[in-house]
Amino acid sequence: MLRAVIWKELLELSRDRRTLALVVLMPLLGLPALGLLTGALYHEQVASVTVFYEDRGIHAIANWLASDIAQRAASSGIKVSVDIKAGSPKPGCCDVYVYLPRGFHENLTSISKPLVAYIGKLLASQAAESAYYAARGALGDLSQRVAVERVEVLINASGLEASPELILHPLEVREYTFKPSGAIASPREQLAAETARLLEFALIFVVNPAVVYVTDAIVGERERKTLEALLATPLGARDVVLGKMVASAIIGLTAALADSLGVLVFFWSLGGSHVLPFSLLGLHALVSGVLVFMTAAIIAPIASRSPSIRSAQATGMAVLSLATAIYFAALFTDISSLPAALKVALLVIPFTHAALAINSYAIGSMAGVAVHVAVMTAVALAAVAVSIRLTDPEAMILVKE
Amino acid sequence: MDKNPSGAYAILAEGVRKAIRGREVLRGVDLKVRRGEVHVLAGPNGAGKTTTLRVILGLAHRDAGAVRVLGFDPEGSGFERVRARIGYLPEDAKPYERLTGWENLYFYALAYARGDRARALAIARRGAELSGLGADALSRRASGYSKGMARRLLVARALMHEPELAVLDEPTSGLDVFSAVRLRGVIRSIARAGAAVLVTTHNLLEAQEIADSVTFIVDGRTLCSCSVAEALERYGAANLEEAFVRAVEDAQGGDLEGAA
Repeated sequence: MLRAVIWKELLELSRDRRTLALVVLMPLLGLPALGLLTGALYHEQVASVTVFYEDRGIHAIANWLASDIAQRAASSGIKVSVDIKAGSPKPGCCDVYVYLPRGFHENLTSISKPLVAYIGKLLASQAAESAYYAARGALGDLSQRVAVERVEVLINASGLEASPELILHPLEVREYTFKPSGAIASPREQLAAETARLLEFALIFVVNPAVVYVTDAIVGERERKTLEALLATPLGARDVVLGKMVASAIIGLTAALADSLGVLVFFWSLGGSHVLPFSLLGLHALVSGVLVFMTAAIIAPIASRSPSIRSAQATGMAVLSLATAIYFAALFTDISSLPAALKVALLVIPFTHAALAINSYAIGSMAGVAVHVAVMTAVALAAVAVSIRLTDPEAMILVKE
Repeated sequence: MDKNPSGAYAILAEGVRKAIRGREVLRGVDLKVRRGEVHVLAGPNGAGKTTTLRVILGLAHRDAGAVRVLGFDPEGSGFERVRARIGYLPEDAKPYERLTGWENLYFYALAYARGDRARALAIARRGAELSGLGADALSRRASGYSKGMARRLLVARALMHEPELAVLDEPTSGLDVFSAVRLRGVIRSIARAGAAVLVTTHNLLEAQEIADSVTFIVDGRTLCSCSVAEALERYGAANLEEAFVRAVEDAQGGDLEGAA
């Protein structure tokens, strides 16, 4: 009996190009489009940088600084136009300026006087922000160069055998990243963990089509005047709602596969597909599928009692916003490090477990993956049971406005 | 109350009451529909006809009264199986626009045949024949159908599984004259074959042509539930339209305006 409803749902969906596009294209293109568009626009912006100097004798230093700024910007994929001018900065001269004031040349060759340089950046300009870091880095290089020269002067004066490098950098720091088990994480594992955060964020693109599909499938049936006759058949209200949920799970799986493919495309476009383990991709697909079914099961009973598609979608969007907030926060927050009260509050929200399942994989905890996927499955099944219990033809037909 | 599923009455309803959002829509509806007869449920707009049909089909809960449909309580467990023996056409129903006419029939046929594909195919073929739409129209999506074509498809969908009880809400609404005449013929023929047919209509002259018995309801109350001959005799009327007007006038102290 359920098969009849599923067959009808999938047949209708296959002819609904817009919804189909939303189900497949949004997860497929969402992340790559977001990443590529942001990347492309970021790299297309051009910032103007001017190096101003007062002392005639430091034209060569200004030149060196300009060249270092351009080199640093290029290596970060930022476009800058660098200029050198004698004099002081004028309003509106550029996005970022570096100013070497009067006396800079004299102090450069002294070992007892401080060197002062000024750096200015335009307010609320992302281009200026990026160029600022290049200029800041170039000044750091200059400072380092001057420091080495000053130390060499001191070594020569003292007659000691010493290396300026060892004096300036006496401490060598060796870094390691380790897993909860204490084992050292390989660079590949570190990249996979960073990738996992992105995959948690990519879950947003899977939840959206599920909400849109379920609300339309249930409320739309009433608005298109096809519901009442259907409820009077042997299928009944439970089969109708359950059939739509199963259909949404199939659609969700499609969306999940499209989303996983989208993630692959995204990494491929960045030239880093080799850092994405296929097992992580498989887990992402599994978590996405369970997530979609769970979302559909949560939304279905609400949708069946909504007076219109608009009202059902508004409720769905509220649920979606909650999920989006969690997946966005997962990009920057480590849920397991939060205070207990906050952690419990987040764990009560079923969507959190999708992010935690992927996160558990990233830190190598397969038990964690199993627990969080099991929680999601249990919530989905409980929601289905509630849905079946609450399904009432009268409530579906005679909805209170 | 007749509890025998094979009894003479397909529908037995007594003293049905129903309130929706605090307003009493049905205040005591009595209805008896025999097997093998066409029964017309007539009443002005807002009289409670559609709500009565929904209570009979178990699509709305009654607050009071007793209902038996094909011997079963529509709110009882297991009524979903009984629905396979019922055909229902709501007044404002529409087909699935993204499905073809044939797919619309086949989907419902699968439901009536409870998943038995071979039986579903036979049922859908009968539906195709009943609709009279032809293979070309049935292979097209229902979104391109005229109102009349869609109505013919829906009538066929409600009757194709040869139900023991057909419940048709304004079945000829939107049909052209030829289709309406044809449908009246189909309704008579399924009643002759032993099915009970409950029809609501505003067109009482049409009702007289097909009805064996009639129920008049006004303001959620049954004024009369009897054979057409008894209704004509009771109200001293030449036809059902006249009988209905007099029934309403009697009920409202001669003020027909209030019923309209």
